[in-house]
Parts: sequence; structure tokens; C-alpha cells
Amino acid sequence: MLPVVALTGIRKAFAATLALDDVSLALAPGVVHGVLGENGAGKSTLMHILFGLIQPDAGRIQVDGRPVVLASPAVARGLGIGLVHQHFCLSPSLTVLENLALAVGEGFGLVRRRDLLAQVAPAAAALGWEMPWDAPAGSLSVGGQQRLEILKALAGGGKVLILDEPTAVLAPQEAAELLRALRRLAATGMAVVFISHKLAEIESVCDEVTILRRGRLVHHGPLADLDRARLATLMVGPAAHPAIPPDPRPAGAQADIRLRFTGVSLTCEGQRLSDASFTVRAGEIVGVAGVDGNGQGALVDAALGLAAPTSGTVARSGNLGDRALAVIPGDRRREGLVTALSVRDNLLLKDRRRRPYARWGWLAPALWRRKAVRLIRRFDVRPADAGLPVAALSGGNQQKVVVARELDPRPRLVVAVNPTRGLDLAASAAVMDRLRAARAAGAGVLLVHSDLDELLEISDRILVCAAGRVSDSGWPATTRERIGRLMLDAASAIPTAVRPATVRPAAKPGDGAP
Amino acid sequence: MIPPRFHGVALAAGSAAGAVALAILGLWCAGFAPLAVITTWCAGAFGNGTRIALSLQEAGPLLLTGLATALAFRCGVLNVGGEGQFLAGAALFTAAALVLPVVGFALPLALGLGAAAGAAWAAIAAGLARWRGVPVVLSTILLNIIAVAVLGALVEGPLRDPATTAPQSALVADVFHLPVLVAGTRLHLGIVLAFVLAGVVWLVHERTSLGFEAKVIGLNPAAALRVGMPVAARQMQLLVASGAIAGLAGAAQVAGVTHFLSAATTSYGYAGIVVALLGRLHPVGIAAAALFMGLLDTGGRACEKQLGVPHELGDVVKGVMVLGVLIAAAWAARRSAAAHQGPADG
Amino acid sequence: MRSLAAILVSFSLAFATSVAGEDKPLSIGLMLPGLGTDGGWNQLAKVAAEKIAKNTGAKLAVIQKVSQDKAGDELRDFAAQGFSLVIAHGYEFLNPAAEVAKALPRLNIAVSGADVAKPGIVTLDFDLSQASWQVGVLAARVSTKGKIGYLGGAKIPSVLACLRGFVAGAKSVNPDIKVVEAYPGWDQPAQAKAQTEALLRLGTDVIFLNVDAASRGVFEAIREAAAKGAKVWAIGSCADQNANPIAADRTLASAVIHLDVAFRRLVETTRAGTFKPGLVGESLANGACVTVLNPTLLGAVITPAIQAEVESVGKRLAAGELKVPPAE
Repeated sequence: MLPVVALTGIRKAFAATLALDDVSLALAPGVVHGVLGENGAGKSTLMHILFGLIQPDAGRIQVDGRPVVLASPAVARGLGIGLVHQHFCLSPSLTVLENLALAVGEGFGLVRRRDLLAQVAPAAAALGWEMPWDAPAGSLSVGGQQRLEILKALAGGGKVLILDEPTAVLAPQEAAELLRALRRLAATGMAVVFISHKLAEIESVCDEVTILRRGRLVHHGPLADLDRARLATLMVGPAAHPAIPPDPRPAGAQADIRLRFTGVSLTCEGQRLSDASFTVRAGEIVGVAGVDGNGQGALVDAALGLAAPTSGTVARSGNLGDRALAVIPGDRRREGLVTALSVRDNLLLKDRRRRPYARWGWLAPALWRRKAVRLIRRFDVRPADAGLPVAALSGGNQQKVVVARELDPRPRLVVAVNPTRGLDLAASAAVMDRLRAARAAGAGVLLVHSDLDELLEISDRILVCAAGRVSDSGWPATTRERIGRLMLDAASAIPTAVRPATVRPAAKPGDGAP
Repeated sequence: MIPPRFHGVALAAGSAAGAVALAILGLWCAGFAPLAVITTWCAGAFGNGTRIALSLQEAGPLLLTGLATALAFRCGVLNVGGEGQFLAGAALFTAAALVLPVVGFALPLALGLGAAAGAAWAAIAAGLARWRGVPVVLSTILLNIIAVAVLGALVEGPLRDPATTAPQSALVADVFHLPVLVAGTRLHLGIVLAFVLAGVVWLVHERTSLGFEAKVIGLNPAAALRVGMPVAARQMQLLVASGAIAGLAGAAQVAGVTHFLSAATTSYGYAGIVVALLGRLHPVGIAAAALFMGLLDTGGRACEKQLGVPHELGDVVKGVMVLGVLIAAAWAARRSAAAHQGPADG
Repeated sequence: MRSLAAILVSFSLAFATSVAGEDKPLSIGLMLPGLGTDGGWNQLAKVAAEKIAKNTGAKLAVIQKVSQDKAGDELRDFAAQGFSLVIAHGYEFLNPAAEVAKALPRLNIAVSGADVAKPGIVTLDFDLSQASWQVGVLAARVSTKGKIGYLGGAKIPSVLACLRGFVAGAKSVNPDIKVVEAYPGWDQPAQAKAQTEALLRLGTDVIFLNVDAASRGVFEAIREAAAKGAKVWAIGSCADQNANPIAADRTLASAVIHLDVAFRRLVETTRAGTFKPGLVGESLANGACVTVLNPTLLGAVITPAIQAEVESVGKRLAAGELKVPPAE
């Protein structure tokens, strides 16, 4: 069957990072197409290209068989492509109908209520939705707001509907209802793109899947050909190195405890951690795997002492600002660096009150400079200019500044979060080597990382954080598939399959509408 | 090309020049000859010793309240309560001067009390922020209103000069006057001390652990926390220090210039915010901005007196200037953000 | 750069000397604590000074929003530029003026609105309490309910003095009359309106107002009550408010400060060389603070008998036969 939209050989690089490499995607009418991948796999970039938000470096895009250039979201919308963002873009004080008018309204044209209703009401009816047209959008539940977003995306007479992790914000019942609605939409002949990393949802709603890993297409085809284990394997990737961690654990189980969680529970910025107990000993790297947002944030804040647990205790070597405790935060620009200040100042953030860099509260600029130059050389920060503001450095070199500051000379405990995110291969490798070196020097390392490959490569033990619970995966005496399933199973809480067995994709468009 | 470290200076100077040009253009449209405005303004602002002294005298309190504002702003505390802290300082100084015995160290003691009053007034906001989570920008602006009311009550009540029914205090004794530097003017020692203090603040900013911490906390509190800085405590300490400087400004104004307290307030505290922003929170910039505002005021006054130029125009120029700096700063921030944008997530 | 500065300096010197020439018209300065467009204290002075300047051919310079911090220097500057008279229009200028007066023997300085004599300075002490007595008499005569209201900006000495005059005047006509007071602030018309409505509900039918920009609210309340048939009246103060655009037909009179009368005296004594420092009580006696009856209401509302009584009381007050009771 002729696809509505076909993307062929799409390539997109951001600075030194290749976000998408030769990725193709074909969307057929009446089909729910799942796009899977870990964080950073390139899903969002691909969807942004499909919606005209960013332009590919190479590759072709065809709509209804004709080559097109999706120069902007307006162009994409004109061709019948709609996108529902993870975060809603509604005017909460306007009514449901007024929000739709904003989406439909062209230029300064007036929209008549009756015409607008005639245009949008059938779509809502086909989905089985009763919309309160005159209620303020802000008064709707999250699920209701999402329905409004979907109607907005459909309002232009859509052929393709893209939903970016739509269930992330929904309660389980709402999510199940959404999945049913997606089936109905597909039954009317729409091509639906469903992005998720929750396996159960994918299984329950999708006809076809495209799986991305690190910007590459690893699988494309009907879902029916795959079982859950295979899906997980495809998503987290085949074992890059079949061996168990290459570095033998230098420290035995008797090494000093550097970090101990005992029954720790807390809620921090919307993330929950329940009853977490584990230890990190000197000379080991303990990896924490998990889909983003499953409690890792709370775990890290509790580990650093930034958030107090509501129950349980955290014992750690060193406090923030001490040489003993090294922190490589997940968001280096927001949490690790002061980008407006020089490389020198950033390298010496922890030395501001330490002799000989400060005496009686007075700074010693000459010594600062000397230390900065030494660290720049040792950690290969480029350009090697201590006076340059950190904002002028590339992401990889910014991370080197953080790593240099934190890991010099010899921390006892390292807490690192996604330390290679956004870095190219060489920079990633450099950072990982520094972590290994810290372990070799006797540090205990807690590594929270969403890249499972890298975790497997470096960790002595791996914990899995899912739905706020921390469990030991048993690594290295387990398989990556099992770790993948631990991560994903707990992340998906969809109780029932919603795909009606009788309605197969694109068989008879329109059949499935109640 | 201007070297990057002077971009801020160029920005401030540019917006000041632009505002002045706009004002002259506006006056031209209103029928005032530009040349006459410029010459009258210049002669009025720095045409002779008296006028220079007057401009400096105006710059003094602005410099102090500007430094006070910048001290808090630089570490991310929006202390807009300079006015209230200024008035608290002026009030306690006057009260002290009216009751303290006339002895040698009485003046420094009273000045110190003025600074302490400003600090205490700021400490209320600090306490509200620390224990009740009240945003400092809100509490300080409300404390300004309270300070004006308290001042009014004081000069109508306990501090009122019994010789008059007007809401004002008696004159303080000569021993509580800051010495005048040039006879026939009110250029007093406090102005010199203000510039010295600007130098001290500069040293603290650039050369001490405390100044470095303040800068880091102001630029990125999340990162400051993660390198072990006591962010909240430091911010509150600097808020109180900021109040002390504003209080000192109020005390010095009574000691050096007015020698009495009245219910008529002068808004030096509010003007300090303008000066601090125009000076880009840098002590040298603030000194320049305070001088500029002093010249603007004195020169504008001359235009008002001699050419009949409306007083409101000076206020318009100040407003346009601050807007110009803010717009330019926002624009520069957006440009640098765009230049350093990384790859999209996912 | 240096030459530019030289030009500017020589310019300013030339300017200063040229003003000091002999056959020039009298130069007078007016120093205001606020803006001359405030609809109250500052505006009245500006209007009065402009009128006097026009009538006497004097050259007038007005500077606005001067604080006590700069008043002394501004006076020095006026003197340096050859001005003969400066009216510093605010009590807060008294101390700074006194401080510089000795050093400026050729400049006549008058501070208006203060009540203390200082060497070398004319202090204009405006006292509306006698005129308040007169309007008290008027209010008591016009009131049919035996209850009248007083609306002040704030409980400050001058406002309370007016209240004492108003009460004394009213009681002199009707010892049983009740006076209800309220203080809604100087500049908030909405509050003043609400307070006026409250006073009217309490049964008052004549209201003497002593507020600045808030007057508008009082007049609105009076107009609205009158439109519903109530026989209610207002009495204005400070400015002549008899022709106010809101309720002119319900405004009986105004207790007026004639700033121009006081200012003209200053200009004339300056010109004649008879300017004499000291405290000047501006009151009924010298015609600066008087009651002006609304001419359109003379006859039917303000009967000739009432008019005659108000005028005769005024004469007795000016002569000192009647005295406003002092504050306790």
C-alpha cells in the first residue's frame, strides 16, 4: 500500500553528535505505528523533522508519493500532519471551542461558531468523546486537555497524527481510554504515530514498530512478528561486548562503605522514591539503570543531601563542597557550571575557601590561574584558555571542566548522572575513563545513567530504578534482556490490551468506529 | 570592535546616550532649541564649582543606595527595599542625634546606628523569606510602604520639633554634621566615604571568597548548592548587608545634607535600583551611573529654572534609560543563549 | 574637550552676570516640593505665582519636586543668578532656607506653609480656621437636620484647627448641632466618596471638605445624593471650589487660601525694599484666607440674612473679638 508519508535516509547532526543516521520511516493509512527507543535514541528528533520543526541534513520526505520540504510546522499542518506534544499548548482561560478556533483560524479570518462546531464535532463523535465545548480549557482534566490537543491536531483535516509519549502524563485508566481512541482513529484511515518506551502500551495498540537506537534504525516491521523479550532486546541493543564487565572488581565486599541508603523514601520535584536500600563501596561502580523519571532524581538528591528523606537514612562520605564528594550533575549547564564565568573560576569553585587558594577570605588569583592551567592540561580541555567563559566551550569540553573540578585529586565518593549525555564518542570515552580511574583510585561511584550500553560496560553492579523502587538486577550474573525487562515492565502499568482482535489495521477503514 | 568585557559598559553608555538624544529630540519638538538645552544643561550640571558640587552631592546617596541594591541583586536577592532601609537609617540616626550626649564619638556612633537600622529593616525581609517563604521582592516593597508610614508617625509624634506643627524633627546638633569639604556648598565628607565604600565593595566582589560566592550564587544557585555553598544563608547575609548600606545612606544624608528629618521623602532608595541596573551591578559602573544621574538631575534642574523645561522630562529620561539597559541586556542574553544552544534532546 | 568646557563655563558666567543687570524686571523664583500639576498645594502656588508674575511684569522661574536635601543649594543658585525673591512653598524648606539665609543677604526668601519664625526669612503661616468658623455658621444655618459633616485629609494640626473653627462656628448658631468627622486621605477620590456617602447615611446634610485631589469623590457623592432628591450641600476649601464641574449647584461656599494675595505682598515689599523677615499669619485679617460664598446660590439658599451674618462674624474674627479655641 502507498504510504501517506515516507521518510527515506534521514540524517541529522547536532554539532558533533549524530542524532539520526540514515533512518527511514513509512506510515500507512489505518495503521498505528509505534516508535520505540531509549532516551536519546533520536525519536523526538525524527518526529520534529516529520512535523517541520527541524530540517534534516540529508534524506527525502514524501507525502502521498510527492517529494516535499517540511520547512515549518505550518507546512506540515497544511499537508495534514498533526503533532500532540508531551506538554500541552493550550490557553487555559479560553474555552475548548475557542482553543480550537485558534488552531483552525487562518490569518485574521473570522470563525463562526456553527461552522467550527460542524468541523470539529464529528471528529469528537467518531472518537466517542463528549467535549464540553464552552468550558474553559483549564478546567479540563489532563486527559480532557489531551483530547483537546488531539482535536486541535485533527482540526486541519489531518492524515497523520503524531503523539509524543502521550501516556506519560496520564493515569492508567485515562491511558487505556486514549489507546482505545487511537485504535478508533486508525480505523477511520488515519496514520497514527505513537511514541513510547512502555512495552505493554506498544504491544496493546501498535500494528507496526520502528525501533531506534543511538540514532540508527534497528528494526522496522509488523509488531506481530516480535515477542516482548525480543522487543526489549532490540530496544536496549544486543550485547556490544559479550563479556561480563571488562574490569575485574578491584575491591572485595569488605571494602569501606561510601554511601548507604537504608529504607529511604522521599518525594522530590514530583518524583517518588520508596524504601530504597543499597550500598556503594570503595572501589566499585554501582550503576543505576531506568527510564527517566522513575525516581532517579529523588535518589540523587537524597544521596547528595539536597533533599531530606521522609523516612530512612542516608550515610555518605563527605558533604557537598568537600573534596571527598564529587558530583557530576545530570544537567551540567544548570547544575554543574556557571557558564557566564571563566573556565578558571569554574575549575576552582570548590577551592574558594581552601588554602592556599584563599587566605583569610582573600583570593590568590595567581594560584588560581596556575591550578586552572594544570587541570586544563591534565583533562585536555579545549581551547586551553583559562580566561574563556565556559559558555563558549563545546558540551564535551564543558563536561571536562566539571569532571576535572570534581575528580581532582581523589574523591572518596562520586555521584554522576548521565555524564556522557550529549557528548560525542571521544568525549564520552574520556569521561568514562575518568570514572574508571576514580574507581581504581579507591572511590565509590554511583552512576545514574539512561544509556544502558555504557552502564553495562562500566558498572560492577547495576541497580534498576523503576516506578520509584530500587532493585538489584543481579548484574553481572544476569542478562541485559532481564535488566531491560526490569526497567520497562515496572514503567508500564497498562492493565489490559485494548487492541480489538477483530479489527486489523487498514482492513476496512471506518469499520471500527462505534 | 569592542572587546567583550566592555560590552556591558557599551550597553549602559549606549542606552544612556540614546535616552538623552531622545529627550533632546522630544524637547526640540516641544519648541526648545537643542543647542540651548545642551549648553544650559552642561553649564547647570558642571559649569562651575558650585554646580559640580551639587551634582556630586546628588550622586552620593545614589551611589550608596545603588551599591546596596547591587550587593543584594548580584547574589540573586531582589531587594527593592532600599527606600525603606534608607528611611530607617535616616530615622534612627536623627533620633540618636536628638537624644545622644554631644561627645566626640557621637557622630560615628549615630551613623553606625543608622546602618544598623537599615540592616534590621532588611533583616525583617530576610526572616520572612527564611521562615515564612515570603518572596523578598514582595516583602521589601511592602516594608517600603510601612517605613514611609512609620516615618510619618515619628515626625508627627515623638520626633516632632515642638516649635512647629509641621511634621518634621528639630535640627540635629552641629556635632552630628558630617564636615563640609568646600565652603559654600554641601559637599560633605560622606560623599568621599561613599566613593571609598564603592572601592571596598569592588575589592570584596573581585578579591574575596565572599564576593566570589555571591557572584556564583547570583548566576547559578543550583550549581552553587552542588559545590557546597550555603546559598540561602549567604543570600540572607548579603540582604542584611545591603540594608546596612542603604541605612548608612539615609543616616549620611541627614548628617551631611538636611540635618533634620521630615515626612517628605526623597526616593533615593528607589533611585538606587535604577542606578544599580544602569551600572550593571558593578561598583565602577554604579559610581559612573550615580554621577550621571547626579549630573542629569542638576543639569535638568538648570534647564527647568532657565528655560522652563518641564521637570517630568528628567524623569522620562531616567525611565527610558533603564528600559534601554534592560532591553539591551535581554537582547544580549538571548543572543548568547542562541549562540550556545546545544543539540535537542532525543 | 578643554575648549568646550571653557566655552560652557564662560557661557554660564555670561548668563549669570547678564541677569544681575539693573534695569531688568524683578526675578522671582518658586520652589515646589511636588509637581505643579498635582491639582492641590503645588498647583495652586504655581497658578498664583504665574498670575502675579503676569500682573507685575516679574520674571518667574519655577522648579518642581525639590526635596529638603537640595533646597539650600537651589536657594544659593537662585541668589547666584541674581534673583530677588524666592518663594519656597513647603514647610520642609524652612530649615534649609534658614541655614543659607545669612549667607544670601540680597535674596529675599519666603517659606510658605510653615509656622515658625526664622531669622532672615518670611514665614507664611496660612490659617483657614477663621474662615472655617464662618462656614460653620453657614452650615448650621443651611442644615435642616441639625447634623453636619467634616471630611479631612488626615488628622494633622492644620486640619484639626479647621475642625475646631468649624465646630465653634456651627455651635455659635445652634449649640445642639452635631458634627461628624472622617479622614479618608488626601488623594483617593473613591475612599472620599465612600466616606461622604457614609456621612450622608448618618443624617448629615452639609459637608465641609478639606482634602486635595479626593474632593472629586466628595462632590460626586453629593451630586448623586442630590439627584435622588436629598437636600445636601458641600463646602470646599483651599482653592475656590464654588465652580467645580461636578456639583457646583450644591456647593455653598469655599474657605479659600488666596495665595496670590500673599505672594503679591511679597513681590511688592521686595520691589519697595520693605521686605521684612518674620512670621506672617495669613488669615481673615489680611485677606489671604477668606470665605467665598457661591454667588449662584445667594438669595434663595443663602439668604441675605445668612450672608450678612457670615460677613459680620468674619469682621469679628478678623478683629480678634472671636477666637478659634486652641488645641487641648
